[in-house]
Amino acid sequence: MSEMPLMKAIVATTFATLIACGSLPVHAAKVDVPLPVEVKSAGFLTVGINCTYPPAGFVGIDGKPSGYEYTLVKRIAEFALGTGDGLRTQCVNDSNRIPFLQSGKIDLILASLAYTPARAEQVDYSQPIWVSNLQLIVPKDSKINEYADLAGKTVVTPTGSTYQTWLQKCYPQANLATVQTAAEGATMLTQRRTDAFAYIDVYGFNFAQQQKNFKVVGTLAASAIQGVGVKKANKPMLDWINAVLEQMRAEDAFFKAFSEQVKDPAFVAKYRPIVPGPSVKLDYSKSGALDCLK
Amino acid sequence: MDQLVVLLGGLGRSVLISAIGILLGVVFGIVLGAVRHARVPLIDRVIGGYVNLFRCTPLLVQVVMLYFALPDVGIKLSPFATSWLALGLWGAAYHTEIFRAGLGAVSPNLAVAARALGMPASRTFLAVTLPLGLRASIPAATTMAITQFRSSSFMIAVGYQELTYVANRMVADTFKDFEVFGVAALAYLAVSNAMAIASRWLERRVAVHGLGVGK
Repeated sequence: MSEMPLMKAIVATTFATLIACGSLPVHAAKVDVPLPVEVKSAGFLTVGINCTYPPAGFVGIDGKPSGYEYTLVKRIAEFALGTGDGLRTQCVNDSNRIPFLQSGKIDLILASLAYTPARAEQVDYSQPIWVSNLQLIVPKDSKINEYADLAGKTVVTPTGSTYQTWLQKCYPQANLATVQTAAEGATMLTQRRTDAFAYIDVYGFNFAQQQKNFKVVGTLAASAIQGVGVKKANKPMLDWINAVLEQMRAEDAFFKAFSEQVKDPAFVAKYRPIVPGPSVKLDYSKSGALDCLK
Repeated sequence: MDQLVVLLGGLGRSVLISAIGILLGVVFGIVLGAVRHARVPLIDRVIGGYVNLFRCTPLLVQVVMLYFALPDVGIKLSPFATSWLALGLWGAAYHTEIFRAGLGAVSPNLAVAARALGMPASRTFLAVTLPLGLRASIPAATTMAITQFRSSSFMIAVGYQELTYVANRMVADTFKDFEVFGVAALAYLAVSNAMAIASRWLERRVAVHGLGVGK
């Protein structure tokens, strides 16, 4: 009888330990670099995200942000504030995301921000987080197969994207029109107001899956390494986000977020060797966002 | 210098669509305003419906509808056509009411006097009411014309390469927000002021002494 209280204590302790182990996250959201003061005092982190670029960043049918970039943003917010509750997002596009950051309206940009030397003069880049390429979306019956076929044809791309600069530089014979968002570009294409829509290959893949009358053509071009944008000279924020991203790279967070969103194993597998992961680290010096095809 | 030339090109296109839109707006405004002033049954209500529709919906919504929604019914307008048409339709709604009010401001005694002298109603309108009514409408019509010009910046939504579109694209390349948009703002200011000065000159030029306008 005197053994009963001891046994009860052992069982209770065992159960409590098991419950505690089950409730611990697999990867704790913690880094050794302190959270920047402005985020700590505000109690929230504001990130500029894509809202019209599926599957990277878009607004779902429920009106909430979604996409693999948004998954990464939520993970970053967990590092900042422990939960995703302190995350605020701001929809941005290619032409206004840098002004949003420079004016202090957002703390970070995680919206397919490709590295270029001109942009690096305006913002600081975190360590690389993604790589993207350009392709063309055209109607299925189009005779355009490569960029050289754009001569005399209309091609649309978002204002402020690296593709705007790349097309102006490498294919000036094309009639380039720019739009405010990828969604506008897609609408112009489906209404046959343009012969081609030049945008990121992942977007093109997703688009062609949804719209069977269109196809993706063109050599992978304008290969761009993307990073998180930080306001110029904000070293505490830059150090913090780099520590977070290093942790996320060790967790293989980037590829996991991508493969959960893009449910095509064959397409996803192409990205395994080239996106940041435990054994892959990207380098901005390899970025060729503005290099013409040889 | 190259960038200035590009911006001037954009300004030229802004002026072009604005000029067409203002001309449409004023011409239709005078005609529809006169019909409303005459209170022609049924037609007055139809015009009232059009005025209500275009005054009570945002111009940007109208532009997007004309460009992106009309193709669903088989009408595909170019960015240029969408731009001047949108400005014209929207402006005409406001000009209709401006000219209706201007015609209504003419003293009815003048029309009565003309009729008493044996002038038919149509001649009375064309020779007495209309000229005086148009003179009275100049300030308000000028304000609306300036608003139409400034509103040409909304055509960025359909990719027409007017001044704001060109400036936006330039900033995306150069990151010189203040300089580029500053020059664009000065350009809008300069043209708007020129329109205001021209209007004031016109007012004085056509003033009828003793009728309280153009002093």
